[in-house]
Amino acid sequence: MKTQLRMLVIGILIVSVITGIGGLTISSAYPQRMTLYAALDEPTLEALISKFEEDTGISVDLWRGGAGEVAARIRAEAAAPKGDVFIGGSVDVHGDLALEGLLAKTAPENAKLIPEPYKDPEGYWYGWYLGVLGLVLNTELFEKEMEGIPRPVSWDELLRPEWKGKVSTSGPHTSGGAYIFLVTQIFRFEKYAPFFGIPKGKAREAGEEAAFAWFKAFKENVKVFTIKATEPIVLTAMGETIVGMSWAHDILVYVEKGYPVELIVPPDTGFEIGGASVIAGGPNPEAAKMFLNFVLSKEAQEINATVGAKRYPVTPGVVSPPGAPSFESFSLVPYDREWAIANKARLLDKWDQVIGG
Amino acid sequence: MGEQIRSKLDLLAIFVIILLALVLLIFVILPVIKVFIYPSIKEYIVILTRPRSLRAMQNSLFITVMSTLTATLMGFIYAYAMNYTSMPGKRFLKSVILLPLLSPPFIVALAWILLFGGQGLITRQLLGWRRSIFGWHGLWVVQSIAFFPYAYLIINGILEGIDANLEYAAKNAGANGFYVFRTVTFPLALPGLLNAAILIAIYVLADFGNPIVIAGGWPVIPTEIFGRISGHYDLAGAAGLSAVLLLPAFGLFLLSRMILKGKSFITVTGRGAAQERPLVTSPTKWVFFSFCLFIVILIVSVYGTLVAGAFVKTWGINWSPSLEHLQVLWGVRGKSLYNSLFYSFFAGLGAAVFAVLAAYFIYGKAFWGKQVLDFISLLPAAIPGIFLGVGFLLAFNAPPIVLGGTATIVILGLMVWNIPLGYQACTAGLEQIGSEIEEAAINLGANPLRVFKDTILPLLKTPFLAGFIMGFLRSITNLSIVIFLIAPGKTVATVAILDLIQYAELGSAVTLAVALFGMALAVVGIAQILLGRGLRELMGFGG
Repeated sequence: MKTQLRMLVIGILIVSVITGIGGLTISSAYPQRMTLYAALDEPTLEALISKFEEDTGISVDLWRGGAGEVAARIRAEAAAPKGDVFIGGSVDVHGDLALEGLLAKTAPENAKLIPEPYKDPEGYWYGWYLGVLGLVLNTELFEKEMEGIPRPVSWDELLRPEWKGKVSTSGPHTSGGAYIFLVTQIFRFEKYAPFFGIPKGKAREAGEEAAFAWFKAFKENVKVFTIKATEPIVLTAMGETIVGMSWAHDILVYVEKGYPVELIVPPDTGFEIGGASVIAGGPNPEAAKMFLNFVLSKEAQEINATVGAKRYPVTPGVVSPPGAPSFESFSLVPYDREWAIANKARLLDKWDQVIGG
Repeated sequence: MGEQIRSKLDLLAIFVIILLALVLLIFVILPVIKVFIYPSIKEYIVILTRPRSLRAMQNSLFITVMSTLTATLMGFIYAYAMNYTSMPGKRFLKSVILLPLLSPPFIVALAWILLFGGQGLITRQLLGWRRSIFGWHGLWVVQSIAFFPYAYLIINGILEGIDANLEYAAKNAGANGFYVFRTVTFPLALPGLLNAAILIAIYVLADFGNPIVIAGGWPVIPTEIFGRISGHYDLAGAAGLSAVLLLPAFGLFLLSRMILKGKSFITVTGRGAAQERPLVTSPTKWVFFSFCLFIVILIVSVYGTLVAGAFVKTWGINWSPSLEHLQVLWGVRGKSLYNSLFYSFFAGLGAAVFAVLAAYFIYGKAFWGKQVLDFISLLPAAIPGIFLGVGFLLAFNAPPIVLGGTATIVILGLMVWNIPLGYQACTAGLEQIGSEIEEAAINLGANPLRVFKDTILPLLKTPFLAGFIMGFLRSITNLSIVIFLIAPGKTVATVAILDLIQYAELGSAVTLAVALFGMALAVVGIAQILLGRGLRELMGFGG
């Protein structure tokens, strides 16, 4: 009995020591760590992270969320930041955080690869990919349940009463894409305002009025306003809704997987510049700068364009997403990014009052 | 019950008791208090009158009643079959029923999605339906399957402990099978049965993993608590709801204490090796057999579906075999498996060590405040995992004790949650050690340390191991406590699996789930080889 007990105690001690040493070895094999907050898809993240770890030996700890969730987390941790770098999400989201003093000013070497319009002149954030808004249509269900209704090739098609309860989209408070969608409609109506005799000076105001009226009608058809931008795609692919609004590059992932869905990019669509920034006061600033520099590199942009959700690079010469339409083929609204960033709080308030979704 | 008063308090005892008391006060009482005092009265009113909160409370009550009834019933039938029939394959049946203990309860929900979801094997492929079966119906089925093995374990122990002589006496006096059951077996089993039901009720009430995966928009309290924190950073609201969650759980806990009138709550004494009993007649036997077979098919289907899901390209869409999902094991998410192993090992070890010390120094001695410490040692059994998670989050993220984002807080949370199990096992073990052994050692001149180390400890080896292994298993499969305590790099497999499910990366999710199951199975297997002791025997010590 006593020897058994002794063996047991020794056994437990040995295992404790092994796991303890194992833990120490693993953490010392990677002398540096870095915490990444990301709003990108799994395969892209896995590929980027393993490339970075391979190249630098720095171990990356990941927290993934929707862009809105990541921003909320960064704000919540403001007193004691735990994240080092934020990648993914539109630069609007990064711009917001910069205004609140939550991002660090950086000057990475690869910043020279990023064309002027795509980076913050102050150096708080950098754009490193482009994406356009589109619709995901469940072709199977569309054929079965929407006979006689034309394919939704334009935004206005979604206002048809027959779409009631069959549409999904995300909410602008939590989803960067949804907010861009909101201002895209404003800019779209502003673009066509002259056709209705509205003078240039009043075009934006009129555009805003028209956009909110559009959303009021749109809301009637929406089954659910999701939290994340990508959720409508899952809902549509699974058949919970027939059409959803989300990022084209995320939609294409589901098309490739073989789900019965198709991508439609309506004219006068919005686009995002995907952002990357270093969080102010993070625990590993040196490693953070290295990661930021890596993300802006041609290599990282190529990974982003070819693995997982295929996003368009910003640096000329980097390969374009294989199999996807070229970025130039999209009809984009004239997008006033500064105005969009400056008016965000006001527009979100207005959304709550007028739409309340 | 006969608490045996051991030797008077010596220096060693005083030291250990103070240490244990500190651990209990800081890591059990403090978090509980923090949760209750965190929201202001106004914040309490706000969160408790929200329509969604009210719906969640209603739904929680409803599903707790439903799932508890079915899980307890299923457990009872299965246990009765094991003890009162001569059906074939009992050893196999007794082993299969334990498999669900090696996985997080929510993998049943995951398998459910694969079978009955929008792209489900059964809904879409076989029946051609478009709709998925989410909502409360799915949750009810899933929870019944996930929790009834726990009911079985307890009820089986109860039934084993019933004196077969009474049943034989009744039979010999002329009663038929059903009469014996109705007048002898059932009344004797009833207190234990109620206890099993109460335990299951606490599990269902506190269940977070299954509803978050499958209940769609049907809110229950644990998912609401999570939503408040992860969606809105509303700690006050989360604390308020957690307080509401604790009250019924605590009430159930007190109820079970009353029912057992101080006897072991979860523990079964383990001395009830199978007695010979009057068995059911042949036709009834085969009815029971079909039921058990059906259960086995259910359990095997769950795991079979998961394994299949790991090796199929895109479930429901592209059935071609593929090894691509294995990549998740070597990527960022796969790192969590190591953390799961590491944290659970130390959590289980810590809980078992605490349990042994507490059993001897608190339960086994008499001193002022002993009843209180004894009660607090059992208290975590009443605390829903998610409440404990919120409590730790509130108590240890600010000075004086800052543990937020470390591995320590995860290990401590899991350890504390597992103390009651080991404590129950060790106190039951202690009951069986006569005080004569201790007195003899003292008379022979042994100092207190020697008495504890050389006489008590060896005799508590089995309950210690039981506490360790059960603590390990419960820790490695836990989701509700860890979900608020993990941080990037310190995350565990259950959280990674949940993340992957929420991103609809089902192939990766099931791969990770199967790997986790394999890991738990391997550890249990190694323990079985090293210790030469059947898992089932050890399980007899714990719920």
